[in-house]
Amino acid sequence: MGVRLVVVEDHEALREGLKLLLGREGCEVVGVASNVEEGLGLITGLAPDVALVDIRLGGDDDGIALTRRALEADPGRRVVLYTGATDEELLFAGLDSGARGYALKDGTPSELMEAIRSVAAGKIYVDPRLRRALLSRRITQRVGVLSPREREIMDLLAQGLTGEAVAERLVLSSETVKTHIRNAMNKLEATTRVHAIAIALREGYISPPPAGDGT
Amino acid sequence: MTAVPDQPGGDAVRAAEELSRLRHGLRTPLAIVLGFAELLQADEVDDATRRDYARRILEAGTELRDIIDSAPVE
Repeated sequence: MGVRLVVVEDHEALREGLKLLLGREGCEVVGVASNVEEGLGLITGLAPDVALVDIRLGGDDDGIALTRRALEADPGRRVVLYTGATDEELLFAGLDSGARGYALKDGTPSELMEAIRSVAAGKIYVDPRLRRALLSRRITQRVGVLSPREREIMDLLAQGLTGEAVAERLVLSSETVKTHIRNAMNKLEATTRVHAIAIALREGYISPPPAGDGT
Repeated sequence: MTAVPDQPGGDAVRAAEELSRLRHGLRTPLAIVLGFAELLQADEVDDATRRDYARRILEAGTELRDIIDSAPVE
């Protein structure tokens, strides 16, 4: 089955072109939007597998802010940022917002499809032209850095709490906690929760539990 | 926009920002040209669709030209 996709792009011709090209590649473009509010509405309402979001949406509209808001509402959302900008700082800001993909507009349609398919499969994708910058700035570590909420949850798991207990402690739903754990495991490239905790401890993302607390 | 006092290197920073905006501005119409050219090449398209794709390529090409023409010389 094709990837269900929402496209958020302010340039009408590019929006139409992407719909045609990606449709031909097997994506089902379930919605298109031209600004942040429309985009958020579609992402929330249609729950696509992936949202392809332009960073500069015209005026004050900003695809990075859209990504942040979409992930606050549902941390399981998968976003590929699509941009003409190659600045490293924008790349860092984009990845820090929680986007799982970063594709450049001068890439080929097949590269864009690779980005979409990778992110749909739960992987992280960065355009090959920017990978040198990633390595030079050790962005690979930044990609793996846990969000404050993920760190908080991993910290509680490391103290021996169950997922249910963590949800109760943080007044979150179990599903939300599971999503945060899954995202943390993906970022840490861990195969199990215990593995994720071990990596998080080793890399210093969380602190070891206090001695003598019985865990 | 708030005026920023000139500082040493300020011109270079402004030039770099301008270049970054310019490069970003070029890439959207460029993506349109490449995308619709690919559609035109690959798809069996009827005359009306072909004309529509060609129009979009032409418009994006004009946009590219305008961006280049409006770019600072230095």
